[in-house]
Amino acid sequence: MAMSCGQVGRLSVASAGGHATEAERLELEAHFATCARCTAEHAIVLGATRVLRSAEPGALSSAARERVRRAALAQRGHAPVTARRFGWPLAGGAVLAMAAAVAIWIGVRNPSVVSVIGGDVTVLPEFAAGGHEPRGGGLIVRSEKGGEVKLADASAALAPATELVWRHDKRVVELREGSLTVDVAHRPGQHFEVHTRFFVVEVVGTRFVVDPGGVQTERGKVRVWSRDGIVIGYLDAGQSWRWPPPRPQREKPASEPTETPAPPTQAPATTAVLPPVEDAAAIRLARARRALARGNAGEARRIVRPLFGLGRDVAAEARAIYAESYLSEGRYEDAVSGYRVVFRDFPHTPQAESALYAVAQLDSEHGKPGEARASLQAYLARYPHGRFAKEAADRLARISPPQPR
Amino acid sequence: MPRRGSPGPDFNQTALWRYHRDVEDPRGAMAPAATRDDPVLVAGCRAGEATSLEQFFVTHVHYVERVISRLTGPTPDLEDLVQTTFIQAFQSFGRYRGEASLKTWVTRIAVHTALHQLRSGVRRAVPLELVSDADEPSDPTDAPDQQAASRQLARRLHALLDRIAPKKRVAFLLYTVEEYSIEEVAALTEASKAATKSRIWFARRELMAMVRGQTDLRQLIEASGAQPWR
Repeated sequence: MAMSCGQVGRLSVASAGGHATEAERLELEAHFATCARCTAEHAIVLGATRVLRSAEPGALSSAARERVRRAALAQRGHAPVTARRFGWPLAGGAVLAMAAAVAIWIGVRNPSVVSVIGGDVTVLPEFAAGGHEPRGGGLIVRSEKGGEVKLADASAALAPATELVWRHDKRVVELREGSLTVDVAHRPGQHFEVHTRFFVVEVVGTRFVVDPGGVQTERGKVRVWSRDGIVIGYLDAGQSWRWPPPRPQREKPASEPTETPAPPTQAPATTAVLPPVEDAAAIRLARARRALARGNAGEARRIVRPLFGLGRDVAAEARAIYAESYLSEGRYEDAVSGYRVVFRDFPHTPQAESALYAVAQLDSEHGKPGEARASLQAYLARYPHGRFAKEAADRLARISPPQPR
Repeated sequence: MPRRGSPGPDFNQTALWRYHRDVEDPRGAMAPAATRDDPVLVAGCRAGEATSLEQFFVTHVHYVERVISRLTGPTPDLEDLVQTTFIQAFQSFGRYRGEASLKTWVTRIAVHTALHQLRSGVRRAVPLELVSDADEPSDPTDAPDQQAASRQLARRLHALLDRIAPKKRVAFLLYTVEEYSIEEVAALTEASKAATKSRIWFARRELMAMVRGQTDLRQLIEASGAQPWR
């Protein structure tokens, strides 16, 4: 389906920023072939972006940088001074807030202390590495044979060989080792978090089991997010999730580009109920596109290789970028091999259509009219109303031998 | 629920580690603190230790300078803006939760500082000598006249961008010049994705209209090597 000029305008900005996919760029190219106005506008957007990007950004001299460093360090302990337009109401509010805080403090029994309810549990203050000063107010809770503790208003049952750090000021448990079952009473506005090496479980009021490899909700609802703040999903009562998720098995392609990618790493068998890697994969694909836009084809290939073993949509896009990286280096044979992998292994994706047309285009432009004709005919047979149907038909008409009269 | 053992000494050889390294390693600006930032450094910064803050400053000052300079254009106030950014960062370390990397966090502060400056409307004229105050030499492969022409062109473009609303301008520059994704721009500017897309689109439209009205500028942009494709 042909794109409107408005859609092209939006894609044009994405392309200038290195965010457009290979399929989108092919669509842009197809539109530019027929629309001089959009071509001119794209040239302006691209040119302006390049000028701004290539212009040397302002930088401070060493002396100025030193002045900034000194000034910033000199004010590190001071609260920012801002003009208060409503000083008295704010002061009144602050007094009320302090009174409320005192009331809460009186109502809650010393939350910083970990109360040991039972079992073999050791509680130690957390020290900085090699130092003797307590660090961050955290308490290390260890249990060799299992036990139960009270962390603020939550009770936690520790499995044997469990170690965690309790940060009462943030209501955060950092699980270092082992497994724990947490039962949190609902308290409006107060969240409770368990941080593991790879993910974070956030809860308002519920009961759940967490270990470094996953979480299982027994009651209520929890939110799971990655350590970089990307929400992975929600788990209702009875649901469980393991990190990392299972990967779909992919058929081994018959022919690969000359640079053979590393085999995808195999994750341990898991029982995932959420699709947790899509966001991270999208970020990685965006990075690869940006690398490609900067002309760094090798970097783009390195970034997308680990995605080959993921789900269909991600893997197809990763393969398309992989093929395009060869194209940007002028390695046409490798690019064609890469595109063939895309439409052979992922035939029902948008990337397959773009890849098939790209193969035909490359064959046509590099003196292989026979192959190009076959690819174009295959394209038109498969996508008679496809995005490049008109271009494919025109190209086919140009390279087809004259019919005998 | 089966319990997993603690990561042993050969954890770095496990599939899980490789998976985490290869797949779950987002771009540096959005990297999780746990994998990028030294926890001792973070703890030191939170505690207000001078050595940690100094290390934080040295690590990020060049990037902060670049981001602010890209967003505001050539300005004699760059030193003040960088200083404001780091003062705010140093005073806010108590609120740093460690969910984003330090670089992301300080970038967000830098973006806000730049936005505040743009909103204030105080744009002092840039003396020619101040365009490049750095003592590092620029790319020696570029001829001086080319550099001067490029600077002049960039300055004219920034003059046009001054006429676009700061929020739109910042979103457009972060997306196109700094190559952040829509999600990242939205996070840095604390806006929704829809609002971010809208700002970028309107900035593009307004910039296009202004460039179209200046024939000589349009020709210069086209002559700067921009091709219609890629």
